[in-house]
Amino acid sequence: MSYNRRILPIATDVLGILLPMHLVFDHEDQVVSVGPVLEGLIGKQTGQKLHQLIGIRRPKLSVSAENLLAAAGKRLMVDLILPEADDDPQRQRLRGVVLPLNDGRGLLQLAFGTDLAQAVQTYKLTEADFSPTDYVLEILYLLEAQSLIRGEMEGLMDRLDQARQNAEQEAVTDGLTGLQNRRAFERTIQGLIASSGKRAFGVMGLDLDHFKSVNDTLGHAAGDAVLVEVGKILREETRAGDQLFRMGGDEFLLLLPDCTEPELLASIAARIIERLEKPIPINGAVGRISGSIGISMSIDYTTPTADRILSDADAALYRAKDAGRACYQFHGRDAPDGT
Amino acid sequence: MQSLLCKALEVFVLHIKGPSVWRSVLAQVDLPGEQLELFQRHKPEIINALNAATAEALQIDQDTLMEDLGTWVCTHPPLEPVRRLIRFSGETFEEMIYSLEELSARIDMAMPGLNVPIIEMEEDDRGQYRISVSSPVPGAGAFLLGVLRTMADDYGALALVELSNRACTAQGNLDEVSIQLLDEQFAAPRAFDLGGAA
Repeated sequence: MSYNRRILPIATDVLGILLPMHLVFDHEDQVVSVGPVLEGLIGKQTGQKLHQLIGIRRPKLSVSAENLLAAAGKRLMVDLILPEADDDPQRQRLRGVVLPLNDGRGLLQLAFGTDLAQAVQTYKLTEADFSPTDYVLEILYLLEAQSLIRGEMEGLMDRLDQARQNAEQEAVTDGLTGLQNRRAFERTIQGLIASSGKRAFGVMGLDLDHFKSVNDTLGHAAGDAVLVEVGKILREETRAGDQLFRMGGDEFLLLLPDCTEPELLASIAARIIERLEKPIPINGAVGRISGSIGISMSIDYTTPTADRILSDADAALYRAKDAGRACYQFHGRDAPDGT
Repeated sequence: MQSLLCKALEVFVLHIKGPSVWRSVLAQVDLPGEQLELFQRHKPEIINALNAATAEALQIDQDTLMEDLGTWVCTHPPLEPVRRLIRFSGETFEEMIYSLEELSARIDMAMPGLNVPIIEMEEDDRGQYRISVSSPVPGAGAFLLGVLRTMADDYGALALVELSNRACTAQGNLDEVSIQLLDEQFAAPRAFDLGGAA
């Protein structure tokens, strides 16, 4: 690198404003002067040997005036050895470049690297510690703005995710009873059919008895209250893994996975009917309903299909109604108690 | 810029009046939900509608609302980051005034595409400045008034800051704020650590 040979006289304090973190060294490896911010970090140090203050990390160089001047113009990675109270000196990583001064001495200009923001905080630097035209303020401002934006983005992603989950949940839920809806049913039945080879399941179709007359005599709000109560009863009288669906109006479907015992289905159906028959208090009046249930079981088919197992449960349901309601009927088999 | 202002308005109202007032303001302008998103793309009229509905809910006029918002944005803890970002633009109040013309570029550096109102600054005399801001939405001048008065305090400067002109032209709204800087070092500036948010 060649240097323009015109010489500018420049006072060291002026240099200190332009290059607050520089140091000047002589051919005997001694520190001649130090910029104000560097002095703030390591103390006055005039007369000290260079290698006591810095190490050169890259390229691999031992610290001497000769080596530094030979590397003039190259970007250096410098370790600044900070004075510590105990015997454990800290090192501050810096970027550096050496330039020869015209009298045989050298100038090492230093600057913070990617840990600029951290360093500003650690050493409590202010605007006055940088050259007036330094880009440091723009960089710190950008880092801060970016961190704000990123934080906002993370919050946004969380809110979007939550909103999506809520929307998905709403799409498969019956608003009134909180049970699942027909859309959810279509999905669930396919899954159960697909795995019915390994996991048998039962299907129960439930129609409420006398629901229409509750609506007619006590009003639709009362009808709604009854439906809410039915939802509650179904949840309480079934097992944790049982899937409950309101298909519309007063029609419900239950899918009961892991079910090979007709006795189990019979007892659940009987309990449901018993609970449904308890009078339901609604605003001083009383709603009386019951339920008819048709039951089919996947074990009764070699290759069950959704259509067949559902229509068979439906047929059993009609038989229950024909038999006088308030009872359950199995498809294709007698009830365990012989009915 | 709209979404930033809308969000600032939201934080302001939530803080001084609570969520139910804000919810009803949102309902009045046909926006769903409880809260706005910072980067939401709004219809152009939305900030006007929000201002009008908020001013009515708070029973103040829209200019006062904008000025209060400008003040609040620079003084309150939830929006401390905003005050810090303004402080980055100048070490003294005067430097900050000089940097107002670059405001739109500074914001653009951090977040491109925000359409920040254009600000121009004329120095009539040492210590006398006229800031003009042109914006498609009214109230930018009042907002800036609140910001500049508050930042004068923040920097410890004593200044007379007034909304000196307002015009509504075909190109939009053109407001003018005049500043008379009386004493740059009247009081100690509020603390501002460069590394504060690291």
